[in-house]
Amino acid sequence: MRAPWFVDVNVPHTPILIAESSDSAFATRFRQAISNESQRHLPRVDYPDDEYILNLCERDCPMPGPVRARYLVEAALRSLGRSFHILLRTIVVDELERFLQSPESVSIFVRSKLLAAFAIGELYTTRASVTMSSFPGLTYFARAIRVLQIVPERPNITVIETKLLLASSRLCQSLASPY
Amino acid sequence: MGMHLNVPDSVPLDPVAREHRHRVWWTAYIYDRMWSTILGYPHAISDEAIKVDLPADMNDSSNSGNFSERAHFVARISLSRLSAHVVRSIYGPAVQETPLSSRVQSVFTDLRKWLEGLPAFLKVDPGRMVPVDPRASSLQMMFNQVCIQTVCSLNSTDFYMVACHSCDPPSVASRSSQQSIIPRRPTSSS
Repeated sequence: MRAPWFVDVNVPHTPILIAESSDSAFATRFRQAISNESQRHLPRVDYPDDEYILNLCERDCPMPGPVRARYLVEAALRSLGRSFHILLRTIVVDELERFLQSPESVSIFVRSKLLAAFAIGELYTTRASVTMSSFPGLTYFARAIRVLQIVPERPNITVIETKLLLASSRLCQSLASPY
Repeated sequence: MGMHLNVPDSVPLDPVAREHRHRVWWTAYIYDRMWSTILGYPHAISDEAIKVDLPADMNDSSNSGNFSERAHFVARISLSRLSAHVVRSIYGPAVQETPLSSRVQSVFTDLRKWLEGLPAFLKVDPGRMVPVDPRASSLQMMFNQVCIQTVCSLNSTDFYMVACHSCDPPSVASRSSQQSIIPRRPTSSS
């Protein structure tokens, strides 16, 4: 008999889920119960894996042009900013303008923050269906996570903002994964 | 960075920067609680250790769109706090003295109080076909997720008990007589 889709028979490599409150099997059963139509299990296997993202880190990441950069940051401010507070508009807009005039004039932390904002902006402005290889904002995200290699001795608010943006982006990428 | 504490008044800090620091902290708090409920892991910092002020009302003309409306953010923070309480009281590893169904009813009571305490513009009335504020929709979905997390700990019998005695019986209760929606699990329940 074939095992359900959420049971990974590759036992040594299966992440051991120690949580009871996250239950993808329950989610599927719940959808089946509340719907009048038959519902199948969602595969939840189409998400960008770690190796793919690490490979992306090493590739060149062309920066967006000024118009698109402003558009992406504005999209990130409006979309994510509706439910959470991560970026301060006056500060990030100023940092973006300085970056556009002279990329070397901003620190690596500000650059990573802007890259993370580009990733979020692209995520929220893409309307086409996506696959793992064309996940919106993934290139900017992969470039931005390089800053996580540094554990700052004296972290500042920019580092925290960047990490929250990366967490938001990763959450959206992982919605199609079972964990 | 000590963001879980208020910056002392003796430290000169611009009010905008201070409020930004507070709100970034509370966003990190919401994320921490959200991840812990999604993944079922303990959260990073306990509520007792947090002494920072809740978001303030910053909607004056000097803020140039820096800060969103306060009530929505505060509602999300309190719902995140509730969701962590759900995970701890229902799914926590410690042996519980009160029966599971009582704990679930207690959670539903808290959730109902939260829902009733929302300002009108953040409430979603499913019977009215009017455009809904996206923030209200987002909050409602988070609320639904917490409800589902509360319910999925129950077996069918306990589910009926809670559905009959709790606030609004979930519509799914009528279907569970035909099929079991709650996978039986070896439990941590009573």
